[in-house]
Amino acid sequence: MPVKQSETSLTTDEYGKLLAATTGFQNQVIIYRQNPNFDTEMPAVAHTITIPFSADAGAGVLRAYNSSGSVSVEYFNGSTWASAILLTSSGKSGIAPKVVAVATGWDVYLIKSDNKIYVYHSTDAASWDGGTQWSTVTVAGATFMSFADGGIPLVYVFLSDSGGHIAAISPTVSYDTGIYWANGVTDFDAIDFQGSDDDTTGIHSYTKLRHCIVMACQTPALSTYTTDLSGSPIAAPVLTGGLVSFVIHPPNEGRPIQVSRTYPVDVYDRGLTFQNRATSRLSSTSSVFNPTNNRDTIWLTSAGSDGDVININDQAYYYDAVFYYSSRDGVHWSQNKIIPNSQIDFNHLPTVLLKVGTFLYMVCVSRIWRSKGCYEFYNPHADLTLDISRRIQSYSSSIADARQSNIVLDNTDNKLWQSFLGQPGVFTVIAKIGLEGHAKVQVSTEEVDSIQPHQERPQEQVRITCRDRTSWITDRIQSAQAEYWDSQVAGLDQFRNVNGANDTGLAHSDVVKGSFTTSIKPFTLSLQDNYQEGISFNTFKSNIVDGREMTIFTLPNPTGHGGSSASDSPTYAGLVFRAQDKDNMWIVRYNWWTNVIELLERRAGVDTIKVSHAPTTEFLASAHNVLPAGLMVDVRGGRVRVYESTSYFGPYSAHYKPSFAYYIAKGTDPAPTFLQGYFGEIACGFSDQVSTDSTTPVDPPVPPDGTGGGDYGTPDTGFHPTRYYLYSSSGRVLRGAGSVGSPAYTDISPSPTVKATLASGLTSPEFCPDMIFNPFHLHEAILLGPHNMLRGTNMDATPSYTNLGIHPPSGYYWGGNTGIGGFAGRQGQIVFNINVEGYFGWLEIPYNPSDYCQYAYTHDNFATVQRTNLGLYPSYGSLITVTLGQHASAWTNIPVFVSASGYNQRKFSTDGGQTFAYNTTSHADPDGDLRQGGLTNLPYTLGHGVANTSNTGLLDFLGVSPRYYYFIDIDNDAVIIPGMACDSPYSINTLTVDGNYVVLMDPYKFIVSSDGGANWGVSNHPNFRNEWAVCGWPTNPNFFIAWGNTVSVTFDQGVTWTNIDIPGGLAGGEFYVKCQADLTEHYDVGGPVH
Amino acid sequence: MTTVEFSGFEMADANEAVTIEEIFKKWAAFASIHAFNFDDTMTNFDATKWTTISNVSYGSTLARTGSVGANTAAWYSLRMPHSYQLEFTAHQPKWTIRLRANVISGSYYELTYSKPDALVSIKYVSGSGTDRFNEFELFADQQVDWGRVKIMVHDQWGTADDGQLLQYISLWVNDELLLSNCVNLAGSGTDLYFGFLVYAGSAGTLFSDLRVANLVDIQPTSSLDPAGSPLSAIQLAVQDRYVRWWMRWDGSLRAWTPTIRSNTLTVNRHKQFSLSPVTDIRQLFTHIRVLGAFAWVQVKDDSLIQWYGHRFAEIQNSAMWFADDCYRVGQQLLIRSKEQAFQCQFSSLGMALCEVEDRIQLPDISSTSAYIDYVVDNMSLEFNIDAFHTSGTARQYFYG
Repeated sequence: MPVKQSETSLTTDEYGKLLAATTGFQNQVIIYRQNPNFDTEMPAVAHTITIPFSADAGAGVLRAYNSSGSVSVEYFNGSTWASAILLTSSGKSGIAPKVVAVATGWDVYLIKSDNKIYVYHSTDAASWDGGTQWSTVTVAGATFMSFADGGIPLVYVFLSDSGGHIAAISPTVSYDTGIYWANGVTDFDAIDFQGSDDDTTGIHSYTKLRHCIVMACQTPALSTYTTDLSGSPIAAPVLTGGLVSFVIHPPNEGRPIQVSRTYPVDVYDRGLTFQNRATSRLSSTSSVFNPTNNRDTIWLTSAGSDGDVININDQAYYYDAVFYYSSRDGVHWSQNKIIPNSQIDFNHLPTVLLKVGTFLYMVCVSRIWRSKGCYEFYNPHADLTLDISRRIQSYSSSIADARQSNIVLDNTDNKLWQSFLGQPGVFTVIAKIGLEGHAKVQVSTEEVDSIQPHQERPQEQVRITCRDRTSWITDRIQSAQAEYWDSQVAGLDQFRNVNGANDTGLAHSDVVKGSFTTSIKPFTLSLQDNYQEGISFNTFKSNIVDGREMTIFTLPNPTGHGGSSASDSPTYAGLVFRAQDKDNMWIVRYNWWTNVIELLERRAGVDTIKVSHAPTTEFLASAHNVLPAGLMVDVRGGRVRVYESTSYFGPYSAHYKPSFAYYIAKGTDPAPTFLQGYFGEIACGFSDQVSTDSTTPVDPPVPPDGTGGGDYGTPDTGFHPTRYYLYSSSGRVLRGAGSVGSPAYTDISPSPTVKATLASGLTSPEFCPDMIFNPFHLHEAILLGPHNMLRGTNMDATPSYTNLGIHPPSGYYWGGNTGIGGFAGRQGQIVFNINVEGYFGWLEIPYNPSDYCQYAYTHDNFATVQRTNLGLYPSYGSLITVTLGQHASAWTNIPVFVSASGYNQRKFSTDGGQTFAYNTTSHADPDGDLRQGGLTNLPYTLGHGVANTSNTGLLDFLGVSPRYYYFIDIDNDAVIIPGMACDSPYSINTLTVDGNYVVLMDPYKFIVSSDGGANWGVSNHPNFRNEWAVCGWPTNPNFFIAWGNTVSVTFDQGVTWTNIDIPGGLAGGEFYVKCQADLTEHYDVGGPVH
Repeated sequence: MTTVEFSGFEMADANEAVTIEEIFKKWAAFASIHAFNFDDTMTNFDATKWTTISNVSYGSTLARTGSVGANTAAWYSLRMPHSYQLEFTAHQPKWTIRLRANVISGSYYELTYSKPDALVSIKYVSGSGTDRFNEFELFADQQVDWGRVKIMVHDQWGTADDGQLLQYISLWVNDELLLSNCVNLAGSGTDLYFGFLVYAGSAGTLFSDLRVANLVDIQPTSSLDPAGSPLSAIQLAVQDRYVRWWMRWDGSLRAWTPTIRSNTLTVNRHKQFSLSPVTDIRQLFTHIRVLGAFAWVQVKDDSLIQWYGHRFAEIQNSAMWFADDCYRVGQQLLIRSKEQAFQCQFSSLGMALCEVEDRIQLPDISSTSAYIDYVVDNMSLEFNIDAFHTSGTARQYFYG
C-alpha cells in the first residue's frame, strides 16, 4: 500500500496532487539520534537505598518514598530537587507509595498502617491535600502495591496470602486477578495502556483499555527434581527467573476482571547463566505511531546482572546493568537493551525511566541521571536533531525487500562532522516529501549504517548509507538465548496405537510406575497388578506449567474383591500434574474408601493431603459404584481448580462442576511446588490383570555397536572401579572399596538367620552361589543360593537383605555353569538382561538325570516366576549353560540360549524363554569328538548391533580330544585356542565395552580375545585354579577381577596381575567364590539406573 | 476383566494460538518493531456471504434489527481453512457458534457460552443425533455479559502413517482459556463452514468486530536460537508459504499473503516516462504440483497452457498439511509465475509514495488510451532538484 491519505495530514485534494505529481517536489531529510545516552548525573537527594519508592513524570519528576512509615514526596524540576514534603507518618512500613501524574497534577497512592488505601493530591507538587481514603477495602498482608487507571482505576497489591497473590482493588471491591505466584517475587508494577479495540460499536466503554502487570520473579523451574528409591534427591530443579507480564481487562460493564496467561518478557535459566532481573518498573511514552497517546509504548526497566555462571567468582565475566524493554501491547516485548553500570551506578535499585519534554531521566531512590531525548523515545532533543535537507547533493533509494538509501551531503563548512553526527551513536534518518505550500509527507524511516566524511577537493562531503528497519530483523538483532513462542498444545489420548489398532501400544501414555495395558479392553487404559499403584505420564507435552487435563475412570469396588480397608486395598484414580517422576508430583484423585476428592502433593515419595473435598452425590453415584466418573484439573500459576463430573456422556465426555480451588503455598526448598512437569493419570485398585507386557519406564540403553558407540560410551581404559564384591559359598559378602589394588574390605554379609535361608532344606549339592547386580537399580544385588534368593539393597552403604521367597521346584536345584558376568564353577548361575528392566533367568537342574532341565525366569523383578521345560537332560556334571542375547526391547523378545555340554545340544528361545527350539547348526569337527563346552553371546559385534534371534553372534565352545579347546562361532568358523587343554570348567565374560573382548579362565590360565574370538592370547597365573570366577567391566576392556585361590585384578588384560589380600583368607569350607563388580558404579552416571 | 480403567484423557496447555501473524508480531517486537500492517481475510459481516434471515442485519455487526421468533443459524457461505483463529466480540451473555459444519448434511460442532447457565459446552450435532462432548460449569470470574472471543480451530496429523487426525477447538474469552476440545477425526472428516446461531429475541447487537487474519495459519511452535536473528525464527515458521513482508514508511512492518488489491496510482504518459514490457517465460510454469506434508494437489492455468504449452513444476512444503492449503498456495504460485512472465521496466517522474506490491496502472504501449495493471516489484528513486526520478520493475497484475 502506498502512504495513505489517512496517514498524512493532507487534504484529499492535496494528497491527490502529491500522488500524481511528477515535478515540484520538495524533499526534507532529518537525522535524529536514535538511542539515549545517560551521560549526565543530576543533583541528587540520596536516601537509604532500601527505602521503597516510585516516581512518575509530568512537567518534572515526582518521587515518593516510604521511610519507616513516613511517606514523603520530592519534586525535581529539571535542575534541582525541592525539599521533601511529608505526606503522612502513618504509612504502612515497607510498601512503596505509587506516584501517578494526572491531568490535574499529581496523585500519590499509599497504604496506611490501618491497611487502607489513601490518595494524596497536588496540582503543583508543592501543596498537597491531607489525603483521602481511596478504598473501603482492607489490604492486610500487602507487600507491594501499584496502580493503573485509564478510566478504570485499580490499585494492584501483592498479598502474602496463598503463597503470593495479586489482588486488584477498586474503591469498593477487591477483585481476584487469578495471579497466584508461589515463587519469589522481588518487584512488580502496573500501568494502563490502550490495546486493540474489543468493540468498535460504541456499545461498551473503555473497550481498548488494558492494564499491564510485570513481575520480577522466580519462574517455574525446569523439571529435573527427582529422587532415588530412598527418596533422596538426585537432581535439584534448575531454577529459572526473570520478568513476566500479564494483560488485564479491567472489570467493566458486566465483565469481571479478566487476566491473560503469563507472557515471558525475559526469562532465563539460572543453571547456565548468572542473570537476574531484580526489579520491575513501568513507564510509558507516546510514539511516532500515536503521537498524542502518552501510553502508546510501555517501557519496562529492570536492574539486574548478566553473565556466565561458571565464572561467577570472577567479576570480569558478568556485569551489572539497567535493562530496559519496550512493548505496545504488554504481550510482545523487545529484547533487553542495556545501560551499563559504568554509565549509571544504580546499585541494583529499582529504577524507572521517565520522559520529561525532550529529556529522559533514569531515577532511583538515591540518584538521577539524564539523557537528551532521542528518536527511540519519540522526544528528540534539538541538539540531537539535524535537518540536512539543504545539504543534500544527491539522494537515492532502492526499494525491494528492503529500502536502502545513499545520501551525499555538502560539508564545506565542516559543521556536519562537528555535530552529533561526528559522535558515536545510532542515527535515524527520516525522509519527507511534499509539494510547495503543502505539508510534507514522511516516506521513509531508515537507520544509518555508515557515515563517511569525504574530501574530494574542492568538495567536502559526508556520505551516508542507511537502511530501513528490515535490518533490525535480518542482522542487527541477535538473540542472546533460546526463545520460544509456542502455540497451545492440546491432545486426546484414546489409548490406542497410532495406527488405530487396539494393540499393546500405550499410545500417549508413558508408564512410570506400576503397569497399565491397552491390550485387554479397546480404547481403555487398564491398570494391571492388584492394588499396585500405577502412574502414567502423558506424552503430548513434558514441561507444562499451566493448563487443563481431564479423564474418565471407573473403579472396582474393593470390598467385592478381597478388600477390607484402605491399607490392604487402596483404591483411587485421578490425575497428576507438574509431575517429575513417580515420587514427585501433584495429584488429584477420588479415594474410594474415604469417598472424597483429594488434592495431594507427593514429594520424594511422601504424600501430603492438601484438600479433602466431599463431592456431589452425582459424582459419588458413579465413582463409588463402578460407573464412569470424571475429574478435571485447571492449573494456573499457584492456583489449582478442580472439577468433578456430575453427568457422563461417553468415553471422553462429561458435565463438569467446579469442586474446589486450592492455592499452592510458596515452598521452602527451591521451588518444588512450582515446576514444569507432566500431566497424567494415577490409579490403584483391584485388578484381575497381571502385567504381562512391558511397560518399561525407561528406554533401554543402546548397546555398544562395536565402534565405541552406544550408551556405554567409548572404552575408558583409565577407569578403575572403586567398588567390587566377593560372595562365597558360605554366604559371606565382602565389599572392597577404595583403591582397587589395595582395597578396604567391609563385611556386609547377611545376618546368619537370613544367610541360612539361602541353603535351607538343601544339603546336596554344594552351596554354589551367584551374585549379580541389578543394572537398573542403584546399588541393588541379587544373591542366589542353592535354595533361595535374596535381594540386597544399599550394597554400597549398609545393605538390607530381603528374602525373595523363590525356591527351586521339588526335585530340582539351581545350577548351571558359565555365563555372562563371570561365574563359573559348577552350579548356581543367574543372568540378567541389560536392556530390559526386571528380567533375570537361571537354570534348574533335576536331581534325577533322566528328568529334563528347566529354564526359570522373572520379567517383573521377581514378583512372579515362570518356568519352561527345556527338554534337555543334565549331563556331565550338570554342565548346562545359559546366556542371553542383549538386544531386546521387551522381555518377550529376549533371546535365550542354553547348551548341555555332554550331549552337544543347544537350544534357543526368541521369546524370553517361553518356548525353546533346537539349534541344529552343524559344527565343523576338525578333530572329531566334539563335546559341548559352553555358549556365550557376542551381541555387539557379530550381531552387528541387531538382536540375536537364533544363531548370529554366539560363541560356542566345544571341547575335543586330545583336550584342546576350540572356539567356533555359530557361523561355523573354528578357531583353535592355543595352549588350552580341554579341561572343565571355565569362565567366560563378554560384558565389555564393545563386545569384542571375550575372556576365558582355565586352571592357571587367563585367555583373552580382543577381536571377537578370532585370535586369543593366553597368560598364566599360578593362583588360578579350578574354582574361580572372572568379572569384566563394561567400560574398561582392560580391567578384570578374578578370584581363584586369591583375588586378583589386572589393568592390562591379564599381562600383569595384582593380588589382593582377603581379610582372614578363605574360611574352611568356603569356596566357589564369586567376585562381582558393582556395575551401578558406572551406570549411575547416565546409565539405565533410576 | 475387572480393574481400574481410564477411558479417555484430554489435555491442553494454557498457551494461545500462534498464527503466522502472531509469529511476525513476536519476533518483530523482539527487534523493537512494535507497529504492524497486517491484512484480514475477514473483517466484517459481509451481507452477501451470510444467510439471509428476517430481522437480522449484517455489516460491522451481526444484529437482530427486530424480533426473531426462533433460533436460526446464520451461516458464512465460504469454507474456512483447516486451521485458523477466529476473533469476534460477543455482546450477549449467551451465544453459540457452529464450527466445522457441513451445511448440507447439517452436521457441525456447536460451541456455546452461557452466563445465564454458568456453562460453556461443546457438542457435535449430526443427522444421527447429538454427541455431547464436554460441559464445564463456570466459576464466577468466568461469567461475563460481553467479551472478546478467540477460537482456535486446528487440525493436526500424528505421523504419515498415523490414523489419527486430531481436531482441536479451543475457546478464550477475554484472554482466559475456557475450553479445549480434541476429537479424533480419523475416518470421519468434517466440512469447513462456520456460522452463528441467532437466538430468538428482540432487537440487539449480537456480534461485532469479526476478524480472521490474512496470515491465519496456526503454527505449532516457533523458536529463536541463540545468536539467531528474528528473521531466522520467522522463516522457520513461514517456510515456503507465499508471504511477503517489508517495512513501511513509518517503520511499521507489513506482512501479508498477496491477494486482490485496489489500484493505487495511474501513471500517465509524459515526456520522461518510459515503459519496456518484457515477456520472459524462462521461469514460467503452467502447471504446478504442491506437495504438502500429508497431501498434495496440482493446479494448472488453462490459458497459460494454451499459450505456452505444458510446463510443469513441483514444490514441497511440509508446513501444509491439507489439500486445500496446498491448493491455495498452488494458486498463489501460479499467479506469481504468471506475473513474473509478464513484467515491465518503467521509468517515470514522481511515484514517490509508492511501495512495493502496490497495484498501479501503466500505459499500454499498444494503445494510446489503455492501461495495464501491474504490481510494483522494486523501485529506485533519485531525487534531483524538484523531481523524483523513479525506475523499477513491475509484474502484471492477474488477481482480477
